[in-house]
Amino acid sequence: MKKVLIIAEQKKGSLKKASLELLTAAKNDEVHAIIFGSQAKAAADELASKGVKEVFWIKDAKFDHYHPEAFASACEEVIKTLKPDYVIGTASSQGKDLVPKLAARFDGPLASDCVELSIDHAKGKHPFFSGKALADVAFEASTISFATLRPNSLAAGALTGAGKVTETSSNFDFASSPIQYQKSTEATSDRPDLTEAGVIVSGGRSLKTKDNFKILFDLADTLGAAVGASRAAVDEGLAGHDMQVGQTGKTVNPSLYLAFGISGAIQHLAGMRTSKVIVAVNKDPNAPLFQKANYGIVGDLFVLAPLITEECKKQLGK
Amino acid sequence: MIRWQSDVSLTTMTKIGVLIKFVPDTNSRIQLKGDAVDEADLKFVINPYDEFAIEEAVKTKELWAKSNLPAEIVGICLGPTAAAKALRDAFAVGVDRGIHIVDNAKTATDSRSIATALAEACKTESFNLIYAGKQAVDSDNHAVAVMVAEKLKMPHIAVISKCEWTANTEATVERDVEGGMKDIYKVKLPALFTANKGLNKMRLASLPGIRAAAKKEIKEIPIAAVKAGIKVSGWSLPPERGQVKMIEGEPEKQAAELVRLLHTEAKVI
Repeated sequence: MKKVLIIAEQKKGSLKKASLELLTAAKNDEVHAIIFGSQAKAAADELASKGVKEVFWIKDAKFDHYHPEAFASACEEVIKTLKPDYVIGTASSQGKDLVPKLAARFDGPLASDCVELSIDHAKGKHPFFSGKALADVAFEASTISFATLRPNSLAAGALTGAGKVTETSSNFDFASSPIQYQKSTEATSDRPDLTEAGVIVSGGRSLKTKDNFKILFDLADTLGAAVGASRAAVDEGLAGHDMQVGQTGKTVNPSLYLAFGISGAIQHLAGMRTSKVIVAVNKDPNAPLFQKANYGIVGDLFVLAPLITEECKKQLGK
Repeated sequence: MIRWQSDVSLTTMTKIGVLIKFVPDTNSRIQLKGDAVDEADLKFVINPYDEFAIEEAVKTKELWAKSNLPAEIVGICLGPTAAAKALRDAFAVGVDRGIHIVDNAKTATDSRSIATALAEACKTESFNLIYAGKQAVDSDNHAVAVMVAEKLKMPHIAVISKCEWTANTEATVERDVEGGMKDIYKVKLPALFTANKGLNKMRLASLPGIRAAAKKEIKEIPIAAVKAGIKVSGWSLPPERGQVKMIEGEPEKQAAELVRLLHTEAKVI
């Protein structure tokens, strides 16, 4: 049994599902957690109720926003006391920043962005080339090791037993830090983030205009989905950079990926090929994406997308 | 813990480092050969995110030149002998000289060993500012630059899509996070920034630029003994899907059938 520290995350007070996936990666281990933010009480309690032995809750409101130096410093304090064998986090914006920083600080091995991870077996799987190839990775022996897990890779887990929440503070001196957090812009939508979404509706250049993406937004909102776009659509200004799926955009891992008018360029496939089910809708029967899809429809997306939205409402009662 | 010096004044030559990796083009088809990725037919280019880093370094140098603040841009590249081309290509758009950590034997294989070697090379230069791509599109660790910053005890902000200089030693940067949100930070130098798409677009090399590139200096240094902490024990290609199920008929019927299949057969909605 290993001692594991998970770096949990919350959004508006709710524990992220991806944090529970970390419990699955460490299911036979003694798990502790650290979570940040004045709003994190419910999330911390949930972790404790799911068998996390001790949840260190950094409650100070200064930790409501990510600050690389401050978060690393708070984690360092916990790690030095707890002496975990592993520190694992989600491959989120925060995790992809904080976990490598800690790995460098403690000079431990780091397995990044794993799609499989087992602490018991000291191994995982990491996609290279945006998933065009997968590497089985193994941790070399070390007093402390680090890993990040891609969201939607494992089932949400729960351990047996119940733990406790310890409110804690950090000695970090925000005032004299060379990094000063200013503010955050508003989220561009209330939809889930592409990297965490269970369902993604995605559009290509055939959407022709930015306004036409509305038919995809309607379908996405019916399904509680995120909306993505191909590089061609982004480069032509039909969608923002934050919506791009592919090798120079986001790598996504949903259960369902609905692609409208996306031909399936190799660098797009790289970003979404781990989707469990892929649907391709395209008027070109020779679009390469049909070769990678589970279901395909040859037809006009401007006709089909609204019809699919209607059918979802009808058949799913949404 | 003091991790930086607060009163840096950039009165003399400022040094900007850029971390550059030579990677297979994103249009590459990846095949395996034996126990490794078959690199024989791959076309290698500058990592796309490093292009943004290079351009930002050149833009920063141009901006500082307006305040009579001379700067030198040093590209640092770890890779086999052939990776020197990445430095030459970077020279053509304005990088001044290069350090090539030559690693033909692939000694540095994981993020720890690569970051260790890069940080050692950076230490010899005492950079005021370092730019890097947010990730390399081959190993996709999204970690090395952040680890270099930590090893240099340099503060960093990663995944930036905007950088505005409020003073010669202070920038306001926008970091892209989930949901299309941006976290905005004010950062004092020295610092390391990693570039996201959207920060800029790398300029095309000019003919004089290309000519000058051939004469710029590349200092080759052998890779030191660095230890990897992660071992790749095997490779696989992603599993192919079964035959696609094409849904025929009128659009109304196609839409109804698709939703039925997703709901009752695939059970994903």
